[in-house]
Amino acid sequence: MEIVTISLISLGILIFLLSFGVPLPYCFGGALMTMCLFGGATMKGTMVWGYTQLSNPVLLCIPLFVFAGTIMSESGIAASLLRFVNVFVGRIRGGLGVVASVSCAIIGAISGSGLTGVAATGPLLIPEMAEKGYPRGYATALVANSSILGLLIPPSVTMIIYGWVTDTSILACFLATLGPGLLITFLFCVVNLVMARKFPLILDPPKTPAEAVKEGVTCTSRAIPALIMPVIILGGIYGGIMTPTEAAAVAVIYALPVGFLIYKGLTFSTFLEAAKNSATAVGAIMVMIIFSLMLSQIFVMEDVPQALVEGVFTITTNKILLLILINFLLFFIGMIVNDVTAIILIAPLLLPLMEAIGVSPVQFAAIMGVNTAMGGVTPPYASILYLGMRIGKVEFSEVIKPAMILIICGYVPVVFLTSLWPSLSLFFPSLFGY
Amino acid sequence: MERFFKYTLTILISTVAAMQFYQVVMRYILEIPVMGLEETMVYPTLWLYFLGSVNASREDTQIKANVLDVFLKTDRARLIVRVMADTMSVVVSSWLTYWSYEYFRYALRVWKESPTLYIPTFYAECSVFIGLVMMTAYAAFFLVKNFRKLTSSQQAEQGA
Repeated sequence: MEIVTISLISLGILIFLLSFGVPLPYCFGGALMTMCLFGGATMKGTMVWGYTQLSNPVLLCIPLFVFAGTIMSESGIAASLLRFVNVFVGRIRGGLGVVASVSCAIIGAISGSGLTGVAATGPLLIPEMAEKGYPRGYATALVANSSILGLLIPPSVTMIIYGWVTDTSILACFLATLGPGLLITFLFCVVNLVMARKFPLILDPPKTPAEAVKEGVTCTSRAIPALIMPVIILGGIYGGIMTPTEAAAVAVIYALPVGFLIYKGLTFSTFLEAAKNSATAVGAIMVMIIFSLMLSQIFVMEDVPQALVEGVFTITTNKILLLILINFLLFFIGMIVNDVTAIILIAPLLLPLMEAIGVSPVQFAAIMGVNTAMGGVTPPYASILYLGMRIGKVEFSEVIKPAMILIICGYVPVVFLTSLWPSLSLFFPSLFGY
Repeated sequence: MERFFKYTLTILISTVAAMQFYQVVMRYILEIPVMGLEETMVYPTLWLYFLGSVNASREDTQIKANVLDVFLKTDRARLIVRVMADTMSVVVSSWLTYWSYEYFRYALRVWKESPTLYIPTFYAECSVFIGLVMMTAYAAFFLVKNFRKLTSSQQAEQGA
């Protein structure tokens, strides 16, 4: 059998195992097994290569960012951030929905993860929105969709992994998803303001200028310790002061006094729980990464990406058509696997094709980022939407319609704009010389 | 076990963060070069990754897609799929463990040392094998548990 056929069979095995609910490290292991048993590949050198990759210091920023984000969300920053954003937009009709979108984007900048965003803001925002007259299903859909912005607003764990597996600058990847992330935040705010006109909302009573100023000063000063965190991370990285790994370590150390002494949400037992949960999440991701990288390495050694490029070019060489097809493929992959898996599975395979049609690795980072983020709220694998449903105590039938409206009006246009208008993703990286 | 993982994982992740922060302070604030810290960090980092993954297997929180579950209507059908998934997990995990054992033997034979402090790298490399052995054991544990659940539900149905 030809090696390309065996590679396709191994990918088929991977999808088969995935659909049965086999843990992801073993899904990649199953595909590796197929390549070794039937494709003539060997695990001997691959195991040594995989270990070397895993001990790369660049990867260390993943556990540290996850840990910092978990500590911050345990510390109770969400309430302060929500009050801070509420000062500016809380009194307009639909303002609470805008608070949800913007707060989730800011929390994304702190945590780098969508699940952390929905876990931190959902318990506070969804009941409050429901109390103010928003349908509970809509509130849940908005918070879940907005939490995905954590994957697009830097620092983002998925972009660290993309940068690492494709050998692209992680700093450039962080900036590539910033433009699309901000645009999605804006679109969610607009959609929310339009939809809020239909809801019987209860608005806050107007305040005197003195009361408004007092509230503004109080809420801002309370939110400052939380807002400093992204400044430290991003300022440290883009100011050329620290590497992403070092910035992540500083973020962890900064988050401790903020959580224990300022917001006081962190206790010894919640700290232990946060550390254990972070380490468990990181372990699950990293062991999956090692096996997926071994599989990618075997594919590369067998020239599978090149064969894929040649195969696709026999169908069409039209750049726009290819980009649309790739978006559909990524959307489909995002529907069945999580963001990290989609990136490590697809990025090394498709990058040669992207480069062949003139799409830079940095723009492809944004294309993958937006598509995989959208996958987090698209069933059947909609982990963030499901978590939102659990927090919001709503049924799937209540949440799916508003979720689809937000996806169609917020994500879908940005997916196509990111693919067809390179400046959207390349503008911020170009400011820093990438 | 819960206490073991809670404290061990906390110590590991905190050590990694503290070591990295120490490097930032020494390098950028005190401007003193730190020799060998990066190579030392590999040890807690690798153990953090593999023990974290073992704990995910123990808690049954490894990342899964569970696509078929969406289409299955009964708990029994879901349990059957779960037993099949557990069986496949044990097979693949055992195969991976075999190769990690080969790597373990290779690391033991070669006995490499880190370039600056001459610490044997075996102490980090063995985490791959030990981690996979424990992950396989937990995969087998869940297979047995779910298989028993399936057979007992079958017996209960026949009894009824």
